Amino acid sequence: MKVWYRTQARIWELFYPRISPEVPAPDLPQEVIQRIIAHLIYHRPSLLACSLTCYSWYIATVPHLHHTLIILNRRHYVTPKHTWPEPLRNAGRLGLPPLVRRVQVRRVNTDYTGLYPGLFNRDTLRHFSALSNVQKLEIDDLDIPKFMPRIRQYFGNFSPTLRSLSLCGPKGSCRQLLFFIGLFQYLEDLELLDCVPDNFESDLVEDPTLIPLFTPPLQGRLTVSRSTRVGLFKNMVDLFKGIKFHYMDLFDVEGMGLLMGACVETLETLRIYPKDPRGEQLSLKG
Amino acid sequence: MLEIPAPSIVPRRGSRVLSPTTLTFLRSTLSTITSPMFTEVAIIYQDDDFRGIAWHSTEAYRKTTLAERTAEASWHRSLFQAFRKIHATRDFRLVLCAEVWGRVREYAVEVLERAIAVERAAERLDYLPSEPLVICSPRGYWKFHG
Repeated sequence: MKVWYRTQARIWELFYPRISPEVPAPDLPQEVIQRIIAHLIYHRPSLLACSLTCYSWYIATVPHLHHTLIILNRRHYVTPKHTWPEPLRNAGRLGLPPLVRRVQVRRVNTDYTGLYPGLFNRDTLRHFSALSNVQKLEIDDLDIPKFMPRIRQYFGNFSPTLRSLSLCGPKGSCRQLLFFIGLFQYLEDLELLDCVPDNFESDLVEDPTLIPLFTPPLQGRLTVSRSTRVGLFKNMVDLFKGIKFHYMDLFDVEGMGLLMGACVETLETLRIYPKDPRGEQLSLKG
Repeated sequence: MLEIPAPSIVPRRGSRVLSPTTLTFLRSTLSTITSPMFTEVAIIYQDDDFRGIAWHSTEAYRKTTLAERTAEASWHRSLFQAFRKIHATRDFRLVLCAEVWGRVREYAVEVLERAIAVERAAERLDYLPSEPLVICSPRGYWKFHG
């Protein structure tokens, strides 16, 4: 009789499991959780909800939530919490910099003076240096001459991990620009947008002793838009001992022939963008 | 793969011949690049290149006149003549890429396939080692124009 009752109880439990605080619910394997979270990485509200579920879900979610750090500039038009240096400071305070894979320093209005050393104080620099796993760096109006010669102190921490660099409207001579690119020894993708010298830069004298610290592989994707700097790509090929890009997106570029000549053996895709919306004016310079 | 917009090779209006600058550039590019992966030339067709697409009304398509259809056929004919000239430099696979979005994708592919069919019927594609490929892929080709 005892055996019968025990068996009946087991069958009963199969259909109506007991929920008792002594028996914890089995955790899903972390791989399964990560797979679930992977479906939600582009939906921030869902990620935020998942991060509040339990500790294991929080662990799976948090790298996606803090993957990108976007810092806007001046306090006009945008809330202060999004402007320099608040996002950086907040991330540093919460210990998030090692989770950041992508950093964007963006201009939002025309009175932006660019990124220059004056924006950094001891606290900001400490948080900026803690960004140790950044793979993609995007900066608008980087004022390279103002960072010289101690530029490595500010950006050297990106060197071991950075794979992709995007500069929009950088300031500085060709050599200074290449010196900055040469700080990142594993750099593969390069994006140069609005790379046009302004009046101030035309007075800059090229320093021939400025040699890049590293020779990055530069074998991924090159995107160049509106680049009229004379000699930039020639110097790039000379100083980096050749370039090996597999993909090139070119729009209004001075020295197009030189770029193609340098990548003849590796180039897989070349996209040439016309200058006009109708697509009839192909810019074929150099 | 070399990707280039169709109107850059032959403008839709005005001159219907390949400009010498473009021809020189394409020839030098194709003869210079020695990468074994560089085997295709993709011609990009935008929405403006299809006359039957109505972008300024609620309808996706509009009725084209006989004159418009003739002009479009003539433009395609000029393009294929240009491809032949370019092909003399180097062997490549021709890819016609319609870069359009939404409901008009099938229409765009149909127009390109029809253009190829016309050329094939006239036996003007003999020089190509393989059939031209027609694809439809919105690649954000106009990202630099905002």
